[in-house]
Amino acid sequence: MRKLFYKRDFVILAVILLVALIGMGTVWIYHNFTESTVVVIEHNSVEINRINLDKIEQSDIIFINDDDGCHVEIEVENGRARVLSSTCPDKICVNCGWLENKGDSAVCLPNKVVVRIE
Amino acid sequence: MKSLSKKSVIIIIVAVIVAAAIVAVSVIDAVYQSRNKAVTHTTIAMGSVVSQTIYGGSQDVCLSVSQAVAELDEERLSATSLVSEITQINKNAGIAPVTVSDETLSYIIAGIEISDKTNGAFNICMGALIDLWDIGGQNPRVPTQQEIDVALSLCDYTQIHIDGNNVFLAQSGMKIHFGAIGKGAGCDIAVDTIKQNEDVAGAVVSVGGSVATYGENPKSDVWTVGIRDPKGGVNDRLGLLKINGEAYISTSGSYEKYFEQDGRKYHHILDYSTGTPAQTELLGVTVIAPSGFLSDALSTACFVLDVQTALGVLEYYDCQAIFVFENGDVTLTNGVAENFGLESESYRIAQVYGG
Repeated sequence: MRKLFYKRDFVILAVILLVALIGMGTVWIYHNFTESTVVVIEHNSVEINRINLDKIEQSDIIFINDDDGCHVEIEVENGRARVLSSTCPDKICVNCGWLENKGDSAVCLPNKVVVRIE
Repeated sequence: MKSLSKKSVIIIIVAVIVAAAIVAVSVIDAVYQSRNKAVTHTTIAMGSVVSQTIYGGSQDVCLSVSQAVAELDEERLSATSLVSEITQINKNAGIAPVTVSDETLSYIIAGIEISDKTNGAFNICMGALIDLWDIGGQNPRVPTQQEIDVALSLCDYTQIHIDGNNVFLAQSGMKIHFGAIGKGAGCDIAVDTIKQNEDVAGAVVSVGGSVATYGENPKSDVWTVGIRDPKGGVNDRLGLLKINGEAYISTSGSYEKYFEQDGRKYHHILDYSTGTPAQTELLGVTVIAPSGFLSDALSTACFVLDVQTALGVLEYYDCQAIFVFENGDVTLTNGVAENFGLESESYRIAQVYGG
């Protein structure tokens, strides 16, 4: 009597399914992990900085000053950013803390500074 | 090598189909997810925080929205922008008519209509009085009665003359002021801009305290909008409002902007009938309307008017409202009663009007 399945059949089957799984994995990884975390900083409605946070190795501080007495310090490091200090009365922007996810933001209305993650 | 058996060929074909199906499903899923993916964007425009969550759109849509809101303010409605059409009209008060865009004209006409309908509880010509008190400005102060009387004589909205696209304020010193509707008009233009992008399935936009919802929420049947607790901090909630599709929600409250002098608090919602901050037992009114302009104008009017009169105005414009009183009572129009969930224990639902 002939064997129902040959070993070769299983090998072919396994290879094809493996290829399919790799394809699925590629789509999934591409969809979820290719976008980088970028911090955008605006002052007086103008974008003044756009930094890829994934590529930062050492933390850095960005200073924003103008003639109206605005003085804001923004700290950026790998994967996150925050308003470190601001010359505003209520400190809502500073109290936002670290921003690390897409859509996170800190706004200082008195100093017209926006920090957001895209 | 032996040629493939018939069975082997069948197995290969089945395996290829299965593999193709798996890949296809994952691609479709990725596309579907990106259509329902939320893009969130926050910036400053119109002197306020503008926040957007857009489903199915991109950051570019968000940028065009915030730009449209900023342009509406700077080029049309702002009374402080040096180049806006409203500034031009105000500068030429008592001197000469100013030709304005159709857009600005439509805001002025709609503003006069609501001013008229609310007997000036909402008044688009209160610039002189608002500048006198300067609440929320650099030098707020309590003016003398004489100063108030002079300012009030310059707030008569029936003295705005319109001829075609020409707008003329009859007396020098009169000023159109869109502060009470600017954020609502900002919501209107935001949704208009979003509607031009067919990729967007749904969106929530807030300009200052005014909120617009549009389309479908892919994550739930409805949109939920938090209503702030007037006695609490920025993040304390009175309750949650469920909204279906497109709607505009604005709140006017005495807690938003005020100053203190001689131990008394003076809030920013001025009453045209007295020239002083509105005397009321209300802490705030939230209005749900078919346009942002209307929700913003009526929330101001309902805060100033007595509740019975306010209910008549709301009915006329087919709008819903939530009234919050100092004693902790919350009252609602019947069209919103089912959609509002009170959360704070400091308040109770005291009445549903017309229910």
